[in-house]
Amino acid sequence: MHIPEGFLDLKTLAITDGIAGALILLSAKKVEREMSSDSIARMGIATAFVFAVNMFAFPVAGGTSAHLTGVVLISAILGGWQGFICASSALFLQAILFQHGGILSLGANILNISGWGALFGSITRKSGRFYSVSGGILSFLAVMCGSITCAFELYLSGRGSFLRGATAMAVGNLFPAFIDGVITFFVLKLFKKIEAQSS
Amino acid sequence: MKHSPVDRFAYKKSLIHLLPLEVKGPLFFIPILINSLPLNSYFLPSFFIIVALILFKISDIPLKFVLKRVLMAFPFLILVIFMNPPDKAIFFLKILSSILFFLLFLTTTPFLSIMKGMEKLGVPEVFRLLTAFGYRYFFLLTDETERSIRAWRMRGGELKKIRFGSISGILFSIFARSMKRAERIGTVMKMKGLYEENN
Repeated sequence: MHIPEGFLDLKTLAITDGIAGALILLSAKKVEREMSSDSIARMGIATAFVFAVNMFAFPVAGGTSAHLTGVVLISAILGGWQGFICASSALFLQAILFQHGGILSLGANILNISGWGALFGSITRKSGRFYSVSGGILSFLAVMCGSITCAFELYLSGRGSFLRGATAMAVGNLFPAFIDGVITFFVLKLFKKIEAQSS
Repeated sequence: MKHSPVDRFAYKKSLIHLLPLEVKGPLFFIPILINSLPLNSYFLPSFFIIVALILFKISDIPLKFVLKRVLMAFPFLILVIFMNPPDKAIFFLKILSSILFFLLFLTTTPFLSIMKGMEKLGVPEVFRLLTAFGYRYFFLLTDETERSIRAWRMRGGELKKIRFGSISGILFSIFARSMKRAERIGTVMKMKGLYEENN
């Protein structure tokens, strides 16, 4: 779902980079208010975690592979704005170190992956006793919404039919999204269990 | 894990490598921006491809490496082909030339220079810090992930058979260990007097 360099037109790049840039500035302001050595270290490690689990791919049907995106997971644990900025810097690292995505298309990738993930992660955080179940479902939905937004950005760039693009993206990401949802559910369940035991 | 430095070609001493970031950045991103304009010509993208290949030769970047990285964008390209984009041949040339220039920029620029460039561009400090943390701890977490998978395999686990409970267990233990590490880093940062509580 990472849009590589060259797929979006100038207008779409300007819109997506503008919105993502504004969101980064806003989240940086929100995070800086409570910035301490501990919070920075926690968020920094969370960034490396998102970056590392994205590389932890396991084979699924048809020779394809799936991996945990981890955005809903860290947003549910650390908070929406924190999750957003951590996932965005992980996306930036993926682009510059492994060319997963691009620099000019980073805004679009941030909106598709970090945006939905952080939004749904912060909803998960507020879902009380349905924490892990809602985390799983919302993690699945975050990937699906991201796929459809990705198709919309390509459509906006004049790359063809939105319906065909959304169908291809949604079908292509259906199984990885399902796996992402199930793993997020299990990890959040374990997290709650450990948290309850230690308190 | 065998670590291959991700910016291993960035420290060569070619003419392209020695260009200052202020020159290199705009110079390599202008072709990508031109490609994002609605110009339907074969000439420009073809010209850009030839220029990029010459610059790769001057920079002494192995073409095999370049080809591998270009091929990484192909799964996404196949999804976009489903959208039935107009002028497929021009679209393909534009994407190819954009990816080549993006790669040219990344393979000839060390990570540290990109970080300095981000500072000059006014990217928020939190974002830069998280990126640096992500880069610093990514290899460590990847090693830990590999070690955990190896240990799991020795206990009879198989990656080919998806067992969500086991995969989630591995990911959770990596996450928990990462957070423990974050606590230690936070303490060290505090002892050094870095990012003390603002409130």
